[in-house]
Amino acid sequence: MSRPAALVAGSVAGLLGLAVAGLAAVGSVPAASSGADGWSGWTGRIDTASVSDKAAMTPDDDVAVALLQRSARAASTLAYSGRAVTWTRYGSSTTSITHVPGTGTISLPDGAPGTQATLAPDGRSNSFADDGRPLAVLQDNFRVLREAELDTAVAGRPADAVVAVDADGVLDARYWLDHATGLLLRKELLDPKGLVRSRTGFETFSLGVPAGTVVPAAAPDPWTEQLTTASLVAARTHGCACPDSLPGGLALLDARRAPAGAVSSAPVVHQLFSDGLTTVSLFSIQGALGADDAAGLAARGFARRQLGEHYAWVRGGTPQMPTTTVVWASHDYVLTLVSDNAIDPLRTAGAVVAAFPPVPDPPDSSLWARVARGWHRITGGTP
Amino acid sequence: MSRCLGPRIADLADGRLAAAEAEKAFAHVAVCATCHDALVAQRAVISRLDTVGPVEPPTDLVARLVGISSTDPGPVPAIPVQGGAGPRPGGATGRRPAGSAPGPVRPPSRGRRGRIVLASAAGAAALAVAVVVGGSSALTSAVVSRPSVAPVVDTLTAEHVASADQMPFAGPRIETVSYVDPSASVSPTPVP
Repeated sequence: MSRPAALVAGSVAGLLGLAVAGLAAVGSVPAASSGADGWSGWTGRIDTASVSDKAAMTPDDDVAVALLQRSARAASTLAYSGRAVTWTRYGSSTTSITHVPGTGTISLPDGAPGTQATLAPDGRSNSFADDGRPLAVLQDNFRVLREAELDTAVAGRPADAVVAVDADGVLDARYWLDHATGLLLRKELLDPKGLVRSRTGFETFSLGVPAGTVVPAAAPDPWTEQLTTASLVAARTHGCACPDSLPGGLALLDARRAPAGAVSSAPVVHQLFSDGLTTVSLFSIQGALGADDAAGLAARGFARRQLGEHYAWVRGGTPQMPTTTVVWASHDYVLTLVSDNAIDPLRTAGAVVAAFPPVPDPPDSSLWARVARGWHRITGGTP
Repeated sequence: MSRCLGPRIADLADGRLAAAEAEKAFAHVAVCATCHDALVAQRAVISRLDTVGPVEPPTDLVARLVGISSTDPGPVPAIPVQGGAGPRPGGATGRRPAGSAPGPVRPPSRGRRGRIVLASAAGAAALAVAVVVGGSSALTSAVVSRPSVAPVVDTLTAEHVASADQMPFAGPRIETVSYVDPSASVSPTPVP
C-alpha cells in the first residue's frame, strides 16, 4: 500500500473507530431505562389512595365493636376444643382443634392417616399488633355492625352475629361469636354478589381442654427475630423494600426475620399485612432470580404470568387453589407474596407487584446493539 | 465467627465466588456488621454504575470527527533533511510558507508516519473503548450468586398460613399449603 493510501486508510480507520465509540457511548443505556419506577426516595409507605374512604361510611356499631373486642381477648385466654370445618366452593377439610391458653393451639387434620398433631404456640405473632390492632385495621376498611337477625346457634351454642360492610355498602364478612364467652365460632367471607366464598367454623365445640390431651412439641421456629419500626427503617437503607403498608388498605401487623441458614442461606424478612379480612405476607430475600430458580419454580407449579403491566411467577389464584403465591425480583431482592383469602388474589398481587416493579430484562449490551442505539439517538430515531 | 471477607467482598458482590463459597460468605455477612456494610457499599457502587444515564452526544461531534483528519497532530521532533539539520521550513507541520520556494525533496517525514500511526492507534483505541463501553453493562450487572429462592417457597407459604391463623378473627381455619396440581379434579362439597 502506498503511503498516501496508508495515511488515508489509517485516518479512515481512526474516524470509524471514534464514530463507533461515540455511538456506542451514546447508546450505552437504553432510553427506556429511565429509572422512573418510583423506587428513588422510597420510604416504605404505599400510596394509600386506594384505602376505603372511612369518612364516607356511617359510624361503626358500638355493640359490634365491643363484641369483637371481647372476642379478640377470649381467643387468647380461654381453653376450648372442637372440630372445625373449613369450606370453600371447591372443597372442605375438618380438623380437631384444642387451645391451651399460654401454650398454643393443637391441630390434627382428619382423614390423613399417620398425620401428627401440631402445635402453633401462643403469642408468636403481632409485633405490630396488640389485641386491638387487627380490629382497628378492620374498622379502617369496613364498617362493623351488629346483626341480631342473623343470630343463631353454632355447634349447639347461642351466637351473636356481627357483619363487616365496605364503603359501598357491600356485605363482605359475617361473624358468629359465642354469646357466653365471645369466642369466634364461625366466620364467612362473601363475594361481591353476596355469595359465601369461604366458611370456617366449629361443628362441635366445648370449653376446656379434654382430659388426656397431649401437647406436642412445637416445631422449631426459624422466624425468631421480631422487627420493629426502627429495624425496618434500617433494612430499607440496605435496599429492602420492607413497606409499612400495601395497596388496598393492607396494614402491617407483623414483621419478623429468619436469620441466614434458617430458611434460606440469606436472611428472610417476613411481613404480614391485613385489611381486616384479607391477610397477605410479603417475604424479602436479598438476591436475584436465576435460571435455576426459574426451573425450580416451574417444577413447583409456578408459571410466568402477566399481572397488570408486569410479569411474575404465579401459583394458585384460582378458585380451585385460592392460596396464591407470587415470586418476582425487584431491585436486588426476591419478593414472595402469599395470599390465601383475598377476593381477587391476582388483582391484589398485581397491585403489589406494580408497587415494587420487577427488574426489567437487561438491555442488549452487545457492541452493535449499543452502536445502533447511539445511531438512532443521534439521528433522532427511536432507540 | 468466621474471618472477615476482605477483598472477597467484591467477588461476592460480582457473583464471582463459587456457590458453596458464596453461601458461606453470605452466612458470614449476615452476622458481621463490617462485611455487611462493605457488601452494601459494593452493591451501591454497582447499582450506581447500572443507573448511569445515557451519554448525550456533543452537538459538534460530527464536525469534530471530520476535523480530526486535518488536525495538527502536534509537534514532532525535527529530523535532518537534505541540505541541513535545522528546523524544517514551515515548522513542525512541514508546510511551506506562502511564497517560499520548494525545498529539496525530503525523505518520508516522521510527521506523516506519525499521522498514520496516530490515526491507526486512534482507531484501535476507539474500537477498544467501544468494546469496553459496550461491555461495561455486563460487567456492572453481573448476576450475583445468591441463594436459590425456589426451594423455600413452600416454607414461606406455610409461614404465612401459620402467622395468619394467629391473628384475631382469623377463625378456626386450616389451610392446605402444600402444592396441589390444579389439573387434579376436586369435587365441590355442598354447603354445610
